[in-house]
Amino acid sequence: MPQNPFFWWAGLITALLLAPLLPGVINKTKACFVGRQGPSLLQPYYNLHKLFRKDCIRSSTSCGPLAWAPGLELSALLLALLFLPYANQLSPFAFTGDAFLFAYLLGLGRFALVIGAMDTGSSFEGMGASREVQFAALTEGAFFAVIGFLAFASRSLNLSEMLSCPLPANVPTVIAAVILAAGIAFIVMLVENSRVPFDDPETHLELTMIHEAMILDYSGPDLGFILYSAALKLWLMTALVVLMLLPGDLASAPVLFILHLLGVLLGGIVIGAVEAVSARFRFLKLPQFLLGALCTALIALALTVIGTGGGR
Amino acid sequence: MLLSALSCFILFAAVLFLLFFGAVWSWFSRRRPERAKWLGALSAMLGCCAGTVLALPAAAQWVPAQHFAFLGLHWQIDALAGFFMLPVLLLGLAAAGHSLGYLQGHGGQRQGTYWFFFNLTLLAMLLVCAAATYIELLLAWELMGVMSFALVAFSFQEQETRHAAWVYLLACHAGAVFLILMFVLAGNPNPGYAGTAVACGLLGFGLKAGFPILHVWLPEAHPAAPAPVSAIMSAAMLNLGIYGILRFLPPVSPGLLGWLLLGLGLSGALLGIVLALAQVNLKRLLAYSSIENMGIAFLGLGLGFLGLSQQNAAMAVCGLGGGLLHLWNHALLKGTLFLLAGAVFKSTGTLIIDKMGGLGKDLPVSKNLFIANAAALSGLPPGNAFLSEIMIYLAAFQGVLSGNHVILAAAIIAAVGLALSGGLAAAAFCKASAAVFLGAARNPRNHEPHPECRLMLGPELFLSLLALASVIFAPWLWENILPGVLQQSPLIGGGSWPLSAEHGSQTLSAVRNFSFAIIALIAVLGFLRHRQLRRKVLDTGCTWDCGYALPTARMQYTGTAFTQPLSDYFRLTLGRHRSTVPVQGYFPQEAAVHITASDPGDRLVWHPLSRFTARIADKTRRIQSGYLHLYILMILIALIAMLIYAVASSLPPAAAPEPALPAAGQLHQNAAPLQP
Repeated sequence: MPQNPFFWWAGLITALLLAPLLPGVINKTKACFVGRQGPSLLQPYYNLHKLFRKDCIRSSTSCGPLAWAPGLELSALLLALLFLPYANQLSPFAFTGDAFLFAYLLGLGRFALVIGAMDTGSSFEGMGASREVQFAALTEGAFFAVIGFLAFASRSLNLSEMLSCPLPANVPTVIAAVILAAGIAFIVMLVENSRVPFDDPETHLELTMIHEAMILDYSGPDLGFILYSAALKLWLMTALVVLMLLPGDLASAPVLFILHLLGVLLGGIVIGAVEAVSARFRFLKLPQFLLGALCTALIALALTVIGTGGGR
Repeated sequence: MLLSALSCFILFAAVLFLLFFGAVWSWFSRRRPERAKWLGALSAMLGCCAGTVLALPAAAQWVPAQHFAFLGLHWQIDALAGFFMLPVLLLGLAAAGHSLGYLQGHGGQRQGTYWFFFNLTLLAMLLVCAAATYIELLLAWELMGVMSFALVAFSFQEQETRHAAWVYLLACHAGAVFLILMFVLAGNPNPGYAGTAVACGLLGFGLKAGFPILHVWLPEAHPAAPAPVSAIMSAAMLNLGIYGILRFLPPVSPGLLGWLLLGLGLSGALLGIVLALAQVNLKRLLAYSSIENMGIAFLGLGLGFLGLSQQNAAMAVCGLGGGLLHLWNHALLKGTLFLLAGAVFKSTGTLIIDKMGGLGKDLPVSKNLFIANAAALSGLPPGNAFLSEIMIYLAAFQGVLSGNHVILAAAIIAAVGLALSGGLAAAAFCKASAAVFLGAARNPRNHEPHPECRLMLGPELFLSLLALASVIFAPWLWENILPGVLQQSPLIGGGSWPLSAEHGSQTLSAVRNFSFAIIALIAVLGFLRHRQLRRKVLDTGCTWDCGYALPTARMQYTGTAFTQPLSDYFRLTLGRHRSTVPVQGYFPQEAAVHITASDPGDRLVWHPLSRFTARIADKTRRIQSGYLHLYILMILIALIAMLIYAVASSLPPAAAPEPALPAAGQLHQNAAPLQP
C-alpha cells in the first residue's frame, strides 16, 4: 500500500476543523426523524464562537482543578488524535504499543473532567462523576478486548497498522469477526461519548445525565474547551470504527480519504438514528451490558483465531 | 578491582555503623527528645545517603558484584541487590525527613523509641537485600519483621493499633516459618521435596509481598503505623518479597512459576483495587492499592516467565522488565501518597475520607501533589506508572501475537484484567483525591488552618521529582540496568539465551517523549486560556447545583457515595454489610445508612480457619485438668511412646554389623545440605 503522508495530515486537519460538525449532524438527523427542522448543521460552531467570547464565572468552592481540567482534557485528546491512520495512511507518530497510549490518553481526559466536577462540591456533578468512572472502568475492558482482536488480526501492536491492514478477504469468519468487533467498538464509542442509549445529553433533568451533569459549573471559554473536546472525542472514536471497517487495500489514498470522511459523517447519521429511535437504558443494567460487550469482543478474537488457523 | 571491593566494604560498614549507632544512641538519649530526634533523623539520612552511594553503582553495574564477609556472615552487593536497595534508601531518606514533621507533638520518650526502631528497620531491610545465603536472609528477615512490628505498634494506646500490630507480627512469623521450611526442604537431596520447597517459598515471600488471600495483614498494619512507616513498608518492604522470590526461590520451571504468578497477579490486582474502592479509611485504601500494584508487578513477572518458557524473547523481556520497573514506580508514587496521607492526618486528625473535604484550600501544594501522584498511580500517561504498565501490556500482546492457544487466551485475559484494574484504580483515586481535598469541608474544623509543614512537604516533593525523573530516565534504565539486574536472578539468568533490551526500548522512549509533549501542550493551552481570560470579567459565585442557592457541605457526594455503584456491583457493601435507618413518614426526621466493607480473604478464609482452630483448641482443653499427677503421667506416656518409636525405627541398623557408625554417617548426611 503506497503511503502518502499528505492525506494523513489532511485527515488530521479535517478532524480538527470538522469535529464540531458531527454533533450538528447528529442533531439534524434526530430532528429529521421526529419531523422537526432542527438547528442548523453549523450550530455547534456558533455555540463555540459565542462561548469563546463570553466571560467566565467560577464556583467559589473550587480550589483549582475546575480551572485546569478543560485544558488537560483537550490536550489529552489532541495528542490522541495523532495516532489514528486517517485515510488508512500510517501515522508518522506511530510506534509499537501506541494503542495503549491512545486508550490511556482518553482515560487521562476523563480523570481530569471527573476531578474538575468533584471540585465544585455539587451533588449533581458528584453523581455524574460517580457514574462516569463506573461505566468508564467497565468499558475499558471491552476496549482492550477490541484492541486485542485488532492486534491479532493485523499481527501488529501499532494502532496505524491495526486499523489500516487489508482484510484477508477469503476468510468469512474473519470478516464476521471484524464486523462483530466494529459493533463492539461502536458500543464503546457510544459509552465513551455519553450518547443514547447509555446517557442522554439532552434531558431536562440533570439527575439523569452523566457527562452533561459533570460540566454544569463551566462557563465561557472553559465550556468551549469542553464542548470542543467532546466533539473531538466523538470524531476520534467514530473514525476508529470507520477505519476498522475500511480495509486498507480497498482503493487509492484520495478515494480512501473521501470514504473515511463520508464514513465518519455517516457514523454521525447512524448515531442520530439510534438516538431518535431508542430510549436510554436503565443505569443498573449497564454494567451487565458492558461486560457482555467485553465477552463479545473476546468471541470476535476467538473467531479470528479459528478462522486464520491459530497463532502458531 | 581491589579498590572498588575495599570501598564497597567500607561503605557497607559505614551504613551499618551509622544506622546502628544512630539507633542505639537515640534510644539512650530518649529522655531528651530534641537530641534523640536529631540524632535519629540525621543518622538515618546519612546512612541512606551513604547507602545510595553504595547501591547506585551496584545497580547500574558500574562496579562488579562484590562478595565479602562482615560480622562473620556473608554479604553480597550485586545489581539485583542494588536495584532493590535503592527504593529502601530513597524512601528511607524521605520518610526520615517526613517523620521530623510528623512526630511533632509526640513528646516524652517517644522520639527515642521511634528512631531506634526506625533506623533498625531500615538497617534490616538493607541487610535483607545484601544477604548472600540463607542464614543471613533469615536473620535479617526476622529482624525486619520484629523491628517494623514495633513501629506498627507505635501508637499502642489505641486498641485497633494493638490488634493490627498483633496480626502483623503473626504474618511476619508465619512467613519466617515458611522460609525456614523452604530452606530445609531445598537443602534436602530428595527431589520429591522440591515442589513443597517452592510452595513454602512462595507462601513465605508471598506473605510479605501481599499475595491475594495472604494480604490480610496489609490493610490492618498500614493504617495503624505512623505515615512515614506506612510509606516505607508499602513502598519498599513489600518489594522485598519479590526480591526473595527472584533470588532465593529454589529452582522451578519458568512455565509453572509463570502460570502461578500470572494467576496470583491477576487475582491480586483485581481483588486489591475492587476492595480499595470500598474503603473509607484513606490509608487503608492506599494499602489495598498496594496489593493491586503488587498484583500488577506479579502479572508482569508471570508473563515474563511464561515468555521464558516459550522462548519468546520479547514477551520475556517486556514482562520481567515491566514488572521490575513497576516496583520502582509504585514505590515512588505510593511512598508520596502515604506521606501525603500523613500530612492530611496531621491537619485533620482523622483518616476517614467521608469526614474530610475541602482540604485543598488549606493544603494547596499537598492537593496538587496528591492528585498528580494519584493520577500517575492509576497508570495515566504523563506519570511513570504508565511506562511500566505499557511494558506489561506489550508482554501480554506479544503472547497474543505469537503464543499458542493457551498462552493467547491467558495473555488476552491478563491484558483485559489489567485494563479493568486500571479503570477501577482511576475510580478509586478519583474518590480519594476528590473526597479528601475537593469540595467543601464536611466537618467544620475547630482550628485555624495553619500553613503546610515544610518538613513534611520537602520529602513529598523530593519523591515526586524522583517520579518525574524516572519518566526521563526510564529508557536508559531499561537498556542499561534492567537486563543486568534480571541476569542476577537464578530463576532467569540460567536461561540459555541472554536477555537483551532491544524489545520495548523504542516504545519507552516514544512514550517518554509523548509524556513531555502532553505536559508542554497542557502548559501552552493553559497559557492561551489565561491570556483569553485576562481581558474578561472573572466572577466567582456559589456552585450552580441546579438553581438551589443554599447548598451545604452535607449535600455533597461523599467518597462512599462516589463508589457506591461499583462496590454494590461487586457485592462488597450489600446484605449484612449495610444497615439502614429508613425514611419514615411524610416529613422524615432522620435517615441513615451504615456501610462496612469486608475483606473476602478475611471472611472466607481466615475467620473460618481461626474459628476451626479455636474449636479444636476448645476440645483439647479437656486434658488440661490441673492435676500435677496427670501431667507427669502424660509426660511418662509420651517418653515411653518415643522410646518405643526410637527402638522400632532403629531395628534394621541394629541388625547390621556396625550399628553406631551408619547412624553417625546418616546424621552427617542429613546435616550436610543444611550448611550454607
